[in-house]
Parts: sequence; C-alpha cells; structure tokens
Amino acid sequence: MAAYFVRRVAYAVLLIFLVSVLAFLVIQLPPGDYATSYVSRISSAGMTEERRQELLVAITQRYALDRPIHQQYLTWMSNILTSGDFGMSFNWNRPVYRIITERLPLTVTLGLVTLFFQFVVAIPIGLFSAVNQYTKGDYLITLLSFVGVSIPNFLLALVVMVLLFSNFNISIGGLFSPEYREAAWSAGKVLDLLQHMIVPVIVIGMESTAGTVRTLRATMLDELGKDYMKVAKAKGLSNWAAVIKHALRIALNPIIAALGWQLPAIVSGSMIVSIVVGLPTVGPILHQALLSQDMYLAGGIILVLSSLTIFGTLLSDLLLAVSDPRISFEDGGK
Amino acid sequence: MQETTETTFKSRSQMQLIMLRFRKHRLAKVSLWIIGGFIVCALFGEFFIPNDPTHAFPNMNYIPPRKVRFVDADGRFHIRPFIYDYKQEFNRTTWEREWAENTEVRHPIYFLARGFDYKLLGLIPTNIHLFNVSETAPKLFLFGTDRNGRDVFSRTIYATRVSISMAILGVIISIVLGILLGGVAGYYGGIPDDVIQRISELLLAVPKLPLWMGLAAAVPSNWPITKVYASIVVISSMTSWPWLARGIRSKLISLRKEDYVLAAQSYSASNMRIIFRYLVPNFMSYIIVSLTLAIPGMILMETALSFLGLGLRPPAVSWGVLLEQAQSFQTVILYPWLLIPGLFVVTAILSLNFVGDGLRDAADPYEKG
Amino acid sequence: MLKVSKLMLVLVAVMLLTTAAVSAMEYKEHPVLAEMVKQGLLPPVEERIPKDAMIVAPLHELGRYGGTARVFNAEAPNRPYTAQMLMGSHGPFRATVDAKPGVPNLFKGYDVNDDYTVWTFYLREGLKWSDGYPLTAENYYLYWRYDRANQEINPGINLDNVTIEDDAVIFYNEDGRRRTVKREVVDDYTIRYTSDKPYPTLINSFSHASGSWDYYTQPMHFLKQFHPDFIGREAAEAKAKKAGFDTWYQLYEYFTNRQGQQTTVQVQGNFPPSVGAYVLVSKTQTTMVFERNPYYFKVDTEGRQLPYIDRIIVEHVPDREIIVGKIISGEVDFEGFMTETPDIPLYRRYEQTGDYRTEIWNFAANATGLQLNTNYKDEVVRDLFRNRDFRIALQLSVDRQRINDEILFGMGRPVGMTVLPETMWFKPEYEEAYAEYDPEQAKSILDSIGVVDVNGDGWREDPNGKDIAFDIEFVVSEAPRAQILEIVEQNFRAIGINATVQQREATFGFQRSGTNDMAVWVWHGDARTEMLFPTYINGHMFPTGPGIGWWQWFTSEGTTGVEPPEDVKELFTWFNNMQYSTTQEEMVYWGQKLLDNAAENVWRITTVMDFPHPMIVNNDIANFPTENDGPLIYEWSTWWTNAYEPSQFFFKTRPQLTIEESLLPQIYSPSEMSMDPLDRAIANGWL
Repeated sequence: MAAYFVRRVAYAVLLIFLVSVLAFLVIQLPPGDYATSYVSRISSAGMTEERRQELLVAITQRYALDRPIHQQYLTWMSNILTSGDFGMSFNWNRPVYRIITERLPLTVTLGLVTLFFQFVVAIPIGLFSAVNQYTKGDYLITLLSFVGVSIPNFLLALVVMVLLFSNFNISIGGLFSPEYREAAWSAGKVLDLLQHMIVPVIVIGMESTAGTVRTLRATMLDELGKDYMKVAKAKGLSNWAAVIKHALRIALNPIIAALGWQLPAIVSGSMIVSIVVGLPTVGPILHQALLSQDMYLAGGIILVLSSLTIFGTLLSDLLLAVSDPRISFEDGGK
Repeated sequence: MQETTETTFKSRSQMQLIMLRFRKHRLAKVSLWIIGGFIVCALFGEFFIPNDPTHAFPNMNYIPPRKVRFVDADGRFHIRPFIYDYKQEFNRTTWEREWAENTEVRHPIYFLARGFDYKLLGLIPTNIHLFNVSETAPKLFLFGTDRNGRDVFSRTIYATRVSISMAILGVIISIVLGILLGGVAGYYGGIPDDVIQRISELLLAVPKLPLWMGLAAAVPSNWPITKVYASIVVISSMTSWPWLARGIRSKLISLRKEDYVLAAQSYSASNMRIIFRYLVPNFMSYIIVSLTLAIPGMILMETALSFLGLGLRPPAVSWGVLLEQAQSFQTVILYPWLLIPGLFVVTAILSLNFVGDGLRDAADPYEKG
Repeated sequence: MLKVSKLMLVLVAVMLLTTAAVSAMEYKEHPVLAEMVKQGLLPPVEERIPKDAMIVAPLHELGRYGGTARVFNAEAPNRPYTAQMLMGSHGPFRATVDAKPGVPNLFKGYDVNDDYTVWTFYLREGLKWSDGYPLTAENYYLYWRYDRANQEINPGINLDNVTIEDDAVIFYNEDGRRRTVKREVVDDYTIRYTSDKPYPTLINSFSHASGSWDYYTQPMHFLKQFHPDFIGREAAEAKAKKAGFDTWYQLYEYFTNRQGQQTTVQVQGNFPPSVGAYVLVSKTQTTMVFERNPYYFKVDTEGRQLPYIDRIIVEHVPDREIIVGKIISGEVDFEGFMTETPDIPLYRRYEQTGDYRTEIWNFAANATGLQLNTNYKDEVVRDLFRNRDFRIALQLSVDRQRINDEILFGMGRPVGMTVLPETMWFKPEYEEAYAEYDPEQAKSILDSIGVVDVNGDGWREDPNGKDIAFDIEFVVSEAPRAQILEIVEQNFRAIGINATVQQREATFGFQRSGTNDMAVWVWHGDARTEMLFPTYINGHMFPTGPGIGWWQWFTSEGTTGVEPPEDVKELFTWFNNMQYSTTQEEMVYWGQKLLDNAAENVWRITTVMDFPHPMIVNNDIANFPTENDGPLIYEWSTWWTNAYEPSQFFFKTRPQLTIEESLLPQIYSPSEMSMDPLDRAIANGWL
C-alpha cells in the first residue's frame, strides 16, 4: 500500500513537471518578442530610444529572455517555486500570481459543487435505472443521459439562462445579486449564491452526470445479478436495503475511479460556462489573456489549473486505494 | 450438404456477426440513417439548398423562417407547396422589424429548379437544386436569415461539410496516432511503453479546453480558412489520441498473450506483420466503435473553439461559426431561428453516440457500460 | 439633428450667475456625513466645501439623497466608463450640452486677453482633496515640474524644451504645437498661461475631461511619496519592487488617476485622494464600490452638497453580453456605454419587467472611421494607403445605406468624415464627398491605377503584381462595430480587395495600434464639434493611422517618426495656423482648408453617423435628460452625460444609506487615514 502511494505521488509530480513544460510552451507560442511588446504596453508612443533600451534590458533580465530556452524555462519555474512569481500580466498591470489566487477559490468551489451535484443527482438516478431495468423510466433516463452529453455546453448555458429568466425571473449571469454582492454572509446570501449557481452547475455537471449514471447503471446491473445479492435477500433484507448495503458499495468504486477523467472535463466545462455566464473564475481571464496575448497570465492559469486537476485525480486514486485495497495490489502486480 | 452449411457458417466474419447484432438495435439503426443523411449533405450540400450560403441579401436580415404552405388564405389546397410574398414593416414602439405576408401572390416551390451556380462534388458545374422558387419570386428562406441577410437553412446544410469532415479527419489522424503509439506501447512494452504512457497520461489528466485554447490561440487569425482548418484538425488529434492509444494498448496487452500470437512469434514473423496481420483485425471492431464515439467530441470541440473566437472564423461556414453568431440574448430572444444549427449539432452527436453505443454492444455483447 | 436648446443656455447662464452669489448660502450635507462630523471623523461642512462652491441647478426638480446605483463594466477593469457617466468629470471646465467649451467646473472662471495669448484661471478658494488637503495653485506647479517635465513619466517630452523657474515652468512645443507657453502660479488661487502665439483653443482642452493628460488635476501632495525627486531614486525603486513593478514610474502611474484611460478610479478611499464626486470605498477584483466624496465642491440651489446618489457599485464582467442580460433582467440601473443600437428592440421588450426606460441619444460621431496606416510595415499596403485613388475606391465601395438600413434602423446618415453641421466650418460637400455607393466606379478606379487581379486568384494585386492583404482591427465598444465591419468587409471583398476584419481584446488592440503592427485601426469618427475639431483634429481629418508615423514626426519636430511628403507637411502647418487664429474668420479659413483637403483625399473610410444610441435608465432615476431638455449628443466632446451634470441625478424612492451601512466612516477613521498607502494596497491585494 505504502509503495503504491509513493508511486502514485511520484507519477503526479512527474505529470506536473510535464504540465509545466506544456504551459511554458504555450507562453512561447505567439509570434513576436515578449520584451518588446511588454515595453510597448507600459510606455507611450513617444518614448525615447534610450529609455526603451533600458527597460528592455530590465525585462530581458527578469525573464532571462536572452538565454537559451531551457534556461528561460528554469528561470520561470524557479521564480514560481521560490517566490510565487508567475510574471506580470500586462492586461492587468499586476502580478499573475495575485490575479490567479483571487479567482481560484471560486473556481475550485464551482468544481466541487458540480462534483457534489453530480453524485447527488447521478447516484439515485443510476440506482433507479438499474433496479428498474428495461422499464419506461429506465429508457427515459438512458435517453436523457445521451442527450446530456450531446449539447454543446455554451449553447445550453445560454438557453437555460434565458429560459430560467423568462419563466422564473431568475437573474442572468454572475454569482450574486447586487444587493448581496457586498453584504456579509447570511442565509439570504447563501440562497442567492445557490440560485445563481443553478445554471452553471447544471450545465457543467450535465456531461459528467450523464456519464456517471451510465457507469453506475452498468456496474449495478452486474452486481445485482451476483450470488451475494441473492443471499442477502434470502437473509430477509428488503430489496432496497440489499441494494444500498451491498451492491452500491461495490458499484461506487468505478465512479470514484472515473473521477480521473471527470475532473478535467469539469474544469473544461466550468471554463466555457463561466465565460458564457460571466462568472469571476479563472476561465474568462484565461480567455481574455489568450485573445490579447497576455501570455504569462495564460501560461500561469494553464499550469495552475492542470496541476490542480492532477492533484484532484491523485486524491481520487488514493481514496480508491483506501476503499478498495485490491487496486493497489493489482497495480503493484504489473 | 454438410459442407455447404459449414462454408456459410465460416463466411460469417466477425464483421457480419456484428452487423447482425447491430441491426437489432433499433435506435442505432435509425441513427445510422441520420448520419448517412449528414454525410450526403456534406458531399452534395449545394444541391439541397436554394440559396448561396455565403451570399448576404441586402436588407433581408433577420427574416423569420418562411412558412411553406399547401393551403392558401382562402382555404384552397394546392398540390404544389408555395410561399407568400413578404415585406418588412418597422414597429415604432417596439423597434422590431416585422415581416408581414402578402397573401395575394403565391410563389410555388419547384423541384429540381434553377438557382445559384456551383460545382457538384467540386467537379460538375450546374445550377440545378433540389428545390427552389422561381427567379422572380422572393427568396425562399426555410430557416429565416441571419443578421447579414444570409439564408440560415442553406448555411446550416452547407456547414455540415466543414464540421463533419473536420471531425472525421481529426478522428482518423487520432486513430492512426493511437494505433501507432498505442501499438508500439502495447506490443513492445518497456521504455517506449513508459514514455508513451506518461505522455498520454499527461494529456488525459490535463483539462482539454484550456490546452486547446492555448494552442489554438497561436494560430494566426489572418490565416486562410484552409490553414486554420488544418491547424484545428491537428490540434484536436494531437490531444485526442491518448484515449484511443490507451484502449488499443490494453487490448494489445491481452491479445499479445493469445496463443496464435505466440505461435506467430515462434515462427519468427516480423513484428509489423504480427501487429497488422494478426492483431489489428482483432481489434478492428474496437477501433470502429472508438471512432464513432470520438467524432462527437471533435464536433463539440470545433463549436467550442469557434464560439471562443479561437477556431474557424467567417467567412468559413461551419456549425461552430453559425452558433458563434447566434450566441447572444438578442438572438435567443428575438431571433431564435438562428439556433437551428444547434439542433443539427445535437442531432448529429446524438446519432453518433447511439450508433457508437449500438456498435459497442454488438461488437462485444459481454462488455457492459 | 442637433437642436440648440434655449433652455439649456439659460440654465448655463443661471449657473454662472449663481456662482457669484454664493457666499450667503448655508451648506447642508448628507446625514451620514453629519454623523461623521459629530464623531470627529470629518471637519464641519463649511470647512470642507469651498466658499464659492459650484451651484448646480437641477434639471427638472430638486433631488433627494439616497439610493445605490448598480452598473456594470466589460471594458478593462480600470476603465469603468459607465460609472463615469454617473459620476461626471472633474476637469477644470466642462462643455455645454451642445458641446461648447468653458462651463466652470473645478475652476470657477477664467480671463483671456484679446489676442488669446494670456489666459488667467481662477481656482475655488477652499477647494480640498478628498483627504482634506487643500487644492491650490501650488499643486499645478508641482505637477508641471515633476510630472509633465519628467522624462520617465512623460517620455514624449524633450527636456531641452523645458525651463523651470521658481513659480513657473516654460514649455516649448508641448503637444507639438510649436509655441512657447509659460505656466505660472500667480497666487494660491490663480494660475496663468502665457503663450508667445495666440492660443484660442486652450479653453477647449481645459473643458474636456480627458482632452489631454496635461490638464488632469493630479494629487501631487500624495504622489510625492513615490517620486525620486522627493524621496530619492533608491527609495522610489525599492517601493516599486515591493509592489511588484519593474520601475518606479510604473508604481507612480498606478497611483495617478490617468492610469490606462481611467479618470475617476482610485485605488481606494484616499489612496490616492480625489476631487471627483465619489471616492472608492471598497474594491475587489470584480467589484468597486463608490460613495460620496465628503469634500465635493458642488451644491444644489438649496446649498445641499452633491451628489444626490449615495453609492455606485460597479461590477466587472468578462463580456458585454452579460451586461445585456443584466439589463433585461432589471439588474442594471444605468448603462450607456455598453449598449448597442441593434439591441434596442430587446431593451424595449423588457422595459416593463425590468423597470427601466430606454432613452435614445444621438450618436453624433461616425460609427466607424477606418484609419489607414500610411506608414504600415508592409510596403505594398502602405503605398496603396498613400494612394488617393485607392482610398477613393475603398470609400466608394462601402454600402452605407445598407449598413444604415440593416443595422441602424435606417435612422442614421450615411456620410463621409466631416464636422457636425452646426459648426462654423461645415459645408454639405464634406459629407457627400465619395460617400455614394458605387462599386463599379471603385473597380474602374482600381483598374486605372493598375490594381488588378493578375494571377486570377480572385483578389487584386498591386501594380507590381504583389498580393494585397490586410486586417481591419477593432475593439468592441459603443457603436455596433462588429456588424458594420462585417458589411464593410464584404464590400471590400466585392471589389477584389482581400481585407479581413479582426476583433481585438481592448488592451491588445491599443498595444498593436501603438506599435505599428496594424494596417487599419477602427475607431469612431468623433471630435467633430466646435470644441474638439480644432483641438484634436489629428485623429480624424489627418493621414495619421495607427502606429508611429507622420504625426510623430511632426509633433517631435522631426526627431522621431517618419518624414511625411510635402503636401502632408502643409496640412500640419494649416492645423497650427488654425490653432493660432485670433478671429473666427481666420479659424474658419484654416479649418475649411483642412476639411476641403480631407474631403478631397478621403483620409478616413467612413460609414454612418447621427444614428440612435440607447441609454438604459432605471425608472427610479430622476433628473436624467430627455429629448425635451436639449440635444442628447452621445459624443466625446460632451463626455457623454457630463454636460447634464450627473451629480444631480437622483433616485426618487431608494432608501438612504445609514451610518452603519456606509463604508465612509471606516475610510475616514484615523487608523485608515494614517496607513501607508503601499502597505495597504498590498495587504488588500489591489496591486
């Protein structure tokens, strides 16, 4: 078990290293020379040549732009690791690190709430579907879960938003109504937040929820047919009690395992939905940064988001290993 | 007699068995027809549409879908469908443009009628279209027009070509990459396996959208459509192969230990020969299923990137471009017909998912999920 | 389209008169401020407001204190223009509603001699910054000397052109006008500009909120603490490092209110202090909250200190589209900057449920002016842009009527670049020149200059057979540019010119326009009023596209930029002559020479002007102008709503802030006031 833990953590570290290389690559992609555009952004057209050169040198040193690419990477990485310096964003004229940390809590919260929503919705539906296999309800659920993965989420976000607005007068966009935006936390504010989270959470969670329903249904069907279920029922347990006590516990494992691919999907989904709905997460910032070639900001966000996702996946792996020791054993056996 | 039966039995290849089982899947069968329809649209798009999809008709913007009628204002039935004349009226209070019908003149719709010039399959110059109104009649806008006065129906059908071909190309490249890399990893094992595994794990663990956005943002926005098209295809396949590679690898690992592979190795068949002669056919079904199930992702990606302003841009006509132009409250509330391309996207993806699911069940009846 | 309202002229006159008769008035203040005076956080109202405070006559009725206005912003976070439309400007003077200069604002008046060489400006006695520090003539001296004459802050300045004296700073060739201006402090409340050449347009610049950086009122007593001339270079650089900047002047700029294009946004509260109607009391990355400035210098006719509206909340959202959604769901109290003409039907549909009204203003500028970069790095494109026939062909190819009909409800006027018809320079032919839609003629012009499709790829090549391709770049704001340019692009392509329209994110767009990476930059063609035409002509009637070029050569007297051909140099001389004019005839003469030339040469490709522009106003807001109150000019000269004095807008019913709700007591608490601004900014994550 311990060996498994160590190996998983080592993998995660390796992946994060690879991610950082990828993020650095993204920073390098746009044409043009970073120092020159940086200088041109912080100065006006009439700047003297002398000053321009001076600034260029300063910027070049800060990001090691005159040195070979791998050394630039090392400088960038060591700045991040030693002092949290991700570079400057020239759109915001502020350090990247601050922009990301301000928006990260909400980004993570949104992801977690979506995960929570997904389980709360998917588990009962999946169970129902499995227990009532081949009934009308089962067919309907299957159909809906197919539809759920077939609608582009940005389209869905907009349409759901307009429908909720025109039928229930639920406000469009953002996370708080103006009257609560500056208010201290209260029951009203929480309710207000939840109301605003409906659209993003449903839309982001649609795909993963549909996936979870289908996985759960399949594994449950497997388990339901097994002998121990018959034994459990023979012992006099009611059908539902047997399902929940025995079968569900085992069927949950694949769902935890699926977190590995669901997390990245949720992060992607929350990004595009945040852009449509206008949520103060890192999504819209990344979009803006890319469109305006604010590359240290863009690279920083990609690095942080991806690393967090890997970390989340690692957690789910370890969780799975704890709940089902066979996993670590199998993995070690390879 | 005995022998013939055996031949019949033998001639049912794995493929045929799969098709046999697939045919029992009703939803999947219907979906397959729908996909066929999309492919026909992609190939012969211009034939099915009455108006040039890129042409903007002046002062004809935001026309709601025209009603095709059989019964006229006086309640008389006509065997030939027709549309009424229409003209714009400006409402001073609401500032909305209303398109009133003039029920005095009927404009019949003709089949195999003349319209704009095009080349069928890019080869045969013609101006015959499946249906159209006469040249003097007001234009036929089945799905209305967009903000520029372009025919939404024609654009939606025409966009099928770019969107579907992009997805198929992307998936084919991913499959090739997946087979190559997954094959190498699964067959050789060892260090190549480790390296490929780590890279694919990386690409799986990273949220795709930010990565796509980062890569697509580097595509110069003033490139010609074809180059942007190619870049998007490459970006999508570069990030999508790990799914396939992993599946292929695990299939290979299990197949590698099969008796007939061991046998082939024992008479020192070349590695390539073993992979392509013995192994590939064995997971052909798997590849077809993955292919079908991977296309929706590609279509969704194309629409997402266009929506974010990082994919194809006008004057290219793709579903993503059409939906991007429909992304506003103004559209959803005042001009909802601009969302019709969205229905096409959903239908296409849904059908592909059904077909993929049906194929998977048929190919591997014992595997669930 | 413009109607000069007699009512407004009377109103202005009343305001001028009452300014004189102030001292008798007893000032009143908002209950929150009164409470703060009691708690000892603020001095009494008489000590905060100048003796000769500016008296604002309400537009319709006397207002009441109260209400929170909710507005949104989708521009760069530091450019909340919408909020500015509610807060007004704090420039020295202001424009009238029909865009004439010289209405007293921060300054109470001016004198000028007959040949416009000596201007004397009078400050209000007792005027104070929001931190209670007096604003006197000294502040302006410090500003000229340590800000304008500092080459690091103001890289365009040539130090050889600056002479510093004890109470005056003399600039030669400021703004490239080839004149020597002595700016001096006469006494605490008087400053004087003495020019060696007539300077009739000086009041125009002084009356425009952001006309030129030169006329901003910067809190020098505050900015000192970041300036090397006061604290030493090492300390200044150390502070900048601490704040995460590379140079001291980045930090300095951060604390000035001109950072980016912002004019009213502060870091928070009194960091830095302000003279505007509001101070920032809370700031997060997405939200800014403003409350009244206890030291604001305007009062209503009953002596009540303005503004009426208690609080303004500005939320930053990533996309304009979100604001549209917020408008129709009734969450926006005011919006005029992010609204677009084609959305009017949508706004109208939800007026009832959203409890707002859609006021229609006149967009008195050309919706899109395509600025062709005559110094673009691609020589093929550059040479064509310099070719008059080519420009005429482009202008002729644009279907303005279609743009008008399809996008602007047919209510605009399809015209070329011109001044407003009400101005003294106007001739009808300026509007008509090459403004008809004639693609056939455009094609034959192109054929005649050898721009033909040689290789048969469907696009025309230049006379040497080289490919022509360029981008038309724009930023989303105000006019429906995206839709208009879609048609312009089609029009250009229809005559065989391979042009591609590109939408740019704001910061990136401005950067590119400054670095010569842009072939065509689209902005609206404004500054066409009597006030701004002779002052800022360079952006509109001149061959000065984006990038470093002829204009820079001219303003720097040939030290930077690109030397223009003789006929263009002549234009610059005419422009200066207009600026030196002492009589109206002279000014008309030079102005018309320039306009004749612009009409003849088509320096800008234009579309439609004078079209309806929607402003969204919550039904509870009163004193907002309607079409009966005078011309509703949506234009830069009047700084949008500023001519109608936004501080007198008020909420009819919204509740008043109480002392418990107000964040002002916190901002003005002794501990806050004594905090180091840098530490505070860092601690709160504002940097």
